Amino acid sequence: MSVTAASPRFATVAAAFFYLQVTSLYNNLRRRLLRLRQPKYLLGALAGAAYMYAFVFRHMLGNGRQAQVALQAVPSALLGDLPALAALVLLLILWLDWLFAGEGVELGFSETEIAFLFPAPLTRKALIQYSLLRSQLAIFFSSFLLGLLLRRGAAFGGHPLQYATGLWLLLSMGRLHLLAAAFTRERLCNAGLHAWPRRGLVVVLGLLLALVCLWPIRAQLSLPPLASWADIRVLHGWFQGIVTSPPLAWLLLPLQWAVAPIFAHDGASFLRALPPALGLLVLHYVWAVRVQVSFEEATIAHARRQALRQTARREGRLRERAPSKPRSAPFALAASGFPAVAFLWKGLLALGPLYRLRVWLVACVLAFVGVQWVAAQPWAKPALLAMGGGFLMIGGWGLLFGPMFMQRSVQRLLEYLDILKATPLGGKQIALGELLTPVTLMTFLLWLLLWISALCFVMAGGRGAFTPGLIVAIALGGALLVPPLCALMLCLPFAGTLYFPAWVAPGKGGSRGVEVMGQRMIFMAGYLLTLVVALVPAALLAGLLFLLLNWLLGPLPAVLGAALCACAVLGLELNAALGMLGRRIDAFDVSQELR
Amino acid sequence: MIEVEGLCKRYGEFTAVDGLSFQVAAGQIMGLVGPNGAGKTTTLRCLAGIIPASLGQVRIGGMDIATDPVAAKRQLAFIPDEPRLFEHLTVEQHLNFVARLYAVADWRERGTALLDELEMADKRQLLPSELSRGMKQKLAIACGLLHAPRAVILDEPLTGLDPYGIRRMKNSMRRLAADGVAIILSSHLLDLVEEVCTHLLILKEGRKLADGSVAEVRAHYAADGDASLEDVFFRATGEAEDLRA
Repeated sequence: MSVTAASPRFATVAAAFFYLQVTSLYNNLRRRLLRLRQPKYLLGALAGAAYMYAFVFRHMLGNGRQAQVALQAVPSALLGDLPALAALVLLLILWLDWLFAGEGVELGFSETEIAFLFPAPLTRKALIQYSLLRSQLAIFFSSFLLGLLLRRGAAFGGHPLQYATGLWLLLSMGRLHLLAAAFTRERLCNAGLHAWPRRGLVVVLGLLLALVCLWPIRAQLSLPPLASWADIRVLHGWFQGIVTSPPLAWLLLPLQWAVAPIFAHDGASFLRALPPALGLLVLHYVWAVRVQVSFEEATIAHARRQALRQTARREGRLRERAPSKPRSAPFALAASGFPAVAFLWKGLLALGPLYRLRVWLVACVLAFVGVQWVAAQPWAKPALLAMGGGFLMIGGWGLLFGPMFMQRSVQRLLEYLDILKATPLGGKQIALGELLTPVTLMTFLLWLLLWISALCFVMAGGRGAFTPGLIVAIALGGALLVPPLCALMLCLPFAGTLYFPAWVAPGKGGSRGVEVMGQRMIFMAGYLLTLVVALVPAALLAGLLFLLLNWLLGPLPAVLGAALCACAVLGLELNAALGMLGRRIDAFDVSQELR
Repeated sequence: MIEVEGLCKRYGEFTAVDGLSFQVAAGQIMGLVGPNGAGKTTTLRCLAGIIPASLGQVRIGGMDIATDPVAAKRQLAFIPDEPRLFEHLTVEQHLNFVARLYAVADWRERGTALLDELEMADKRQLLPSELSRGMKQKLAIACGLLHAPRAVILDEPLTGLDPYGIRRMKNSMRRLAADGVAIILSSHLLDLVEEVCTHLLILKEGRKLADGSVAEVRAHYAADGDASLEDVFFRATGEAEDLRA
């Protein structure tokens, strides 16, 4: 075995880093191209590419030239103020970082990188360099690729490449500063200055600094009269008077060096701005690698949290699963009874203590109190009408897109279908059980929105033909329709999962890319089409009944009757859909379908 | 080859490892056993230089892992219980990547030999997503052994391996020890420890309960000398009575 002299120098870690990135990128692209041989990915890729061209690239490329012309119209007086303004913002960000940052230094390593790199013969400095190189990927992508593509920075008159370089310098400097500051804080902590005393010190220092900088120019601090704001030169003069007065000007000077390349309006000024900014970058790098402290444990914990979050996202959850702590049952589950209720019990238990009837009731009461308060204000009527309309619109969007967000919960059925099929339950019972939790969740959410909306409209006294009585009837009718509608809409992604499992099989990885986006778009189109077809019979029958009852008995009974009729039709459709899903579950061969 | 003196690891007020000292000489296989939460994984991570010790010294081949981590780690391999692999690197590319980190010039020959030994020669172009749990574990082992370490730390190395893989792994450990490699093997499988290890370290609540050759530890806890390692473990950790109850 020959082991050459392993060098802990930057070259070793950079070589390993670039090998990893280039090889990963090549393999990823190759895998994606190869899978286009499968029709499901090819169709998805075509749909995704067409979408990207039609709605992103064509628009972007078309707008690039126009944007440049339009943005150059920004007054030059304002352009001159931007570096100082940006420096002030940077100063505030730095101060807030020192104020709010906690203890511990986390470097952005994945668990795999930790497994390979931490036991490897690399110094701590080499690991920091690896982490910095890793962060450069995102910074480089954001500043150069997106910057040049979107022609960002055209407003300042310079070439987009200047802006991209300046932004890259600033973001890199920011990354180095945050890292070095975190190392320094950890050193201070090790020396006995813990988070809260440090925060107190930062507040005192901040106040002292503000006092020292602003006291000499206290007379200039008051804003010019509002009437003079139309003349941009007045504001410009006032702002310049403040930021060019020492000692504030001295304080802002290095920060202005940092942002100057971004705001350079021509090549010469960019070249003049470059050396100080590069000098600051080098100084930050030296600071970060010199002041290094132990970061391993915090980084391992951070990587673990990141991995949990990633798993949660793959499983369709917004956040990682909380540490396992016994949760109270949503209701007492009897040993005998309708089996589907057990699914609901399990689902609500997993969702946590927020998803309980009492919480919903409290929300309803709070909404009632809130609407009453608004109704007591002098500006009540327009506000109530706007609120009612707003909540109704949110409800409508929720009804349409809620099932899309919740479909992951029914898609996960494939992960444990073999276990469920081993239980003495028919396919229809399993289908109903799987649907109950998301349907209940959506129903109560939509009922809450409907309740708030109806309250607002009623308290506003109605509008035109929509009397308070009719509004209540419509709200009741709508509430009746919500459960079967939600269930029917969730049946669609559920059916997609059961009939096209290879398209949605969980845990297979590769859930990114244009082709996957295209697959989702095809699904969405199918979903909307099926929804329209399912709603037509209910809408037709309910419409006819409404006309008849309205003629015979008036609008109130007509609305309720039509809602009942639509509910019955949707219920029949739901029963048929559940039967179909159940038969599919009974016939589903896990060993064949998920290969 | 592996020397540990007064190793302590504290997390705030909690002490995970408390004043641990032991040595593993070249050619020895030390079994590290203990109940859950005994501090085994923390000890192994400190030995591998993954996390810094709060107190104490760890030397690998005479090199202090805190003051000269590069020289110490160059002689060391740490193979974790859960194989964590790069999603987009093939089996062979994993070995290539590790070769870069450890500067292994003849990694192709060594990698081929290791993959052959682990029965993975036909898997070299596969991605981790195409490997079974056992194959991933084998790849992690191959990555660990690629640079011919003089000290190997194995944390539950047999998880996910099939009977063939288990037998091969046992033989590999014996062969490595015969070649003068110092091995620390952490496992809950007491049969494996009894079969493979020459020495034993029993931990409980971060403290050392027993340390020595398997025969010495057995003699200390079982006067009849006939007791199994399982009996020795329960006697050492004082849970025999609880289990009988």
